[in-house]
Amino acid sequence: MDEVLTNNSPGYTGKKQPERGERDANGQLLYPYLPDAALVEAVNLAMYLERPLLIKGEPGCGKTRLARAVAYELGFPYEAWHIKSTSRARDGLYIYDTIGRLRDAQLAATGGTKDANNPASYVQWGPLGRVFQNDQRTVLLIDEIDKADIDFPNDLLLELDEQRFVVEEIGREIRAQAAPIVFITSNDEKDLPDAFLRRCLFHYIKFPDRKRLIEIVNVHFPASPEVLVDAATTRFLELRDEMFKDKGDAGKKVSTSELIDWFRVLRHYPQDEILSKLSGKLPYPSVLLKSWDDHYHYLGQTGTKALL
Amino acid sequence: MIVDDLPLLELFTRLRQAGLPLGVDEYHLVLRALQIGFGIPDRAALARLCRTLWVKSADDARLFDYYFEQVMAQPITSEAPVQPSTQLSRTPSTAPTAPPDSLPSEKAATAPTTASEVALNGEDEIQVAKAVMHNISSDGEAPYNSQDDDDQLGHLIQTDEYFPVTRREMKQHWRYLRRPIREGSPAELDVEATVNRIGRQGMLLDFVLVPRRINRAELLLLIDQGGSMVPFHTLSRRLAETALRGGRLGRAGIYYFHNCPMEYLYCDSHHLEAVQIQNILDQLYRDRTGVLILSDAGAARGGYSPERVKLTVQFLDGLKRQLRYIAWLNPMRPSRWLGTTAEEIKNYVPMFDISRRGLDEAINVLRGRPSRFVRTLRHENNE
Repeated sequence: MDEVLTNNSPGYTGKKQPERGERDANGQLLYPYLPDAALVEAVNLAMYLERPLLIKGEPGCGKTRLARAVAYELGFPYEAWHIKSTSRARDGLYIYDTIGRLRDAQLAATGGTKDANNPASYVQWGPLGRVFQNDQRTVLLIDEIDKADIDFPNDLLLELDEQRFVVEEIGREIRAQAAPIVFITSNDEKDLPDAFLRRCLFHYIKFPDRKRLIEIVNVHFPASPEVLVDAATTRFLELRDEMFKDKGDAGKKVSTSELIDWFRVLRHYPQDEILSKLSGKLPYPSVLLKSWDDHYHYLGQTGTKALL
Repeated sequence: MIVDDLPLLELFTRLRQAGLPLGVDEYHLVLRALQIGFGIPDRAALARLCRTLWVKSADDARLFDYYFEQVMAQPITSEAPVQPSTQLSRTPSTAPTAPPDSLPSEKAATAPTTASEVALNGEDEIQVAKAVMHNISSDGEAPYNSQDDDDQLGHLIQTDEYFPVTRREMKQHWRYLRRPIREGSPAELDVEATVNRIGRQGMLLDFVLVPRRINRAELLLLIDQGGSMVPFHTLSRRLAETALRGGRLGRAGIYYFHNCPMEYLYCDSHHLEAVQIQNILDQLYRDRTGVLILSDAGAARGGYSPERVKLTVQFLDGLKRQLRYIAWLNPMRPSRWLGTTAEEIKNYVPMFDISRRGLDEAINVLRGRPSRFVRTLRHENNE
């Protein structure tokens, strides 16, 4: 499969990781990312078929990070479009500054110098508009698409399907120079319309197993003592299992990103102190437990045991 | 080519029948991906490929896994083309492969149990299914779907979509329920009004701004629970679920009652927490909120109860004073309404059966569109 892919375009392997403290072109700090084999395959498939890849998974499992990791490895430019509840599909393409143009026309009429005769200069491109006009293949992240109104995904069908759109104010058609690699993340707060789903490839990011979690911690914090990584991961998985028993699939459980944050805190203390803490009451719980219920449940129990 | 020998089309057709939204395009995608080498190494890779391209949710994934096991019962390896005889004897149109060795036959034996595990969540769902099927056949009318009875039953075993309206169709219907309203701070330029103003004043003094258009449809779903509605609990639960996940409820919500809503509604299906109807209605906007009532209105048991008619009409009158759009969904077929309380109530509120068409019309009423109901009333008035 790898040989076939290299003939076409470079494939994603998930192996190339940024150096510690390395930043991208916009000055954003880059983090290592360890995808599993199935995810790598899905990314390559989406790239080859030129379809958007819809990614779902538990919060904190690395849905958003994936796009940047792919852009980093392949050396492609990266654009992110973070969706809010008020986002409209057209905002991602362009915004036309009608008010600015009116103002300039007014100024020109009263003897000002601004020229309002060039309508094209009032177009401000959105993320998708910029991606389409970039002649280099670009990675586009449409983050948390389920936050927007339910009609939002439908308004993007033509743009994602035919990779073109028309700027109505100036009657110009923008066609994608190079097919972008589109990643869409969803937290499943709302269902997406069928017509939209049909055009996407879908991948569900599973929670990593123990071996993989250790790998992830190691790649984020190289040269960490093995005993500590092992103990922390074990304690973390115990907590997660307990949460799983209580809440099942529905509730919020501790996630990979929280493990990384937690480990970052643990690392700063002497190893033997942390190791002894890990075997007792959960240390630094505020990093892992985010609700009063969780605090009560998962700290209270060990607390009472200690008292008894 | 190995690709030609894989029962891919069979798998594809079955998934389509099970209700996955797949088109020819999706089939082509898999072929294209296979040509470049995805999914070729082994069976698991092929499953991964098809899953990525065809499956869009966790529910779909369960269906997919089941059908994949069934259709691709014979292990597929890259050496498969070495034995062309077995490959050729298997045409894509035949049902799950004839197993040459013992392993697949074992699978075939276990398949039915997995099917029921996949499809049916519990015993009561089977009962409901039977009740609905019985309802259909006893009416002597054609089944809701155009497929014949055998297909219906086969369908029933393989998926849990045995209701006249599938989950997907419900979602699609909720999607139609929208009411764009300009609301919030003025942020959008009204070009036409601004140009008009410039025309009047001779120069640009100020812009005319209007608020953005946002979707403000709200739905109040009132569900009759218990008694004669017991066989339809799964159906009403499904309606409630899809409405909730469709993000269309707004500030209204789902409330429950028994037989006829009186002074109180319940927040949960077990009638534990009661709320005064007036408190709910006071929070809602008259022109924004649609009320959808789900009840058999006495049609399931049959018989006519003047008392029930009186109470229901009282409730509806109160409701109409506060809210504009009201529709009623009745899980029984219209032919069963005749001579029952439902027939009488039907004169006071647009009532529809739960079918694609009925749901469609109910949503239209909630959106404030003219419907069949208005016409029949006018007709009666003319007489």
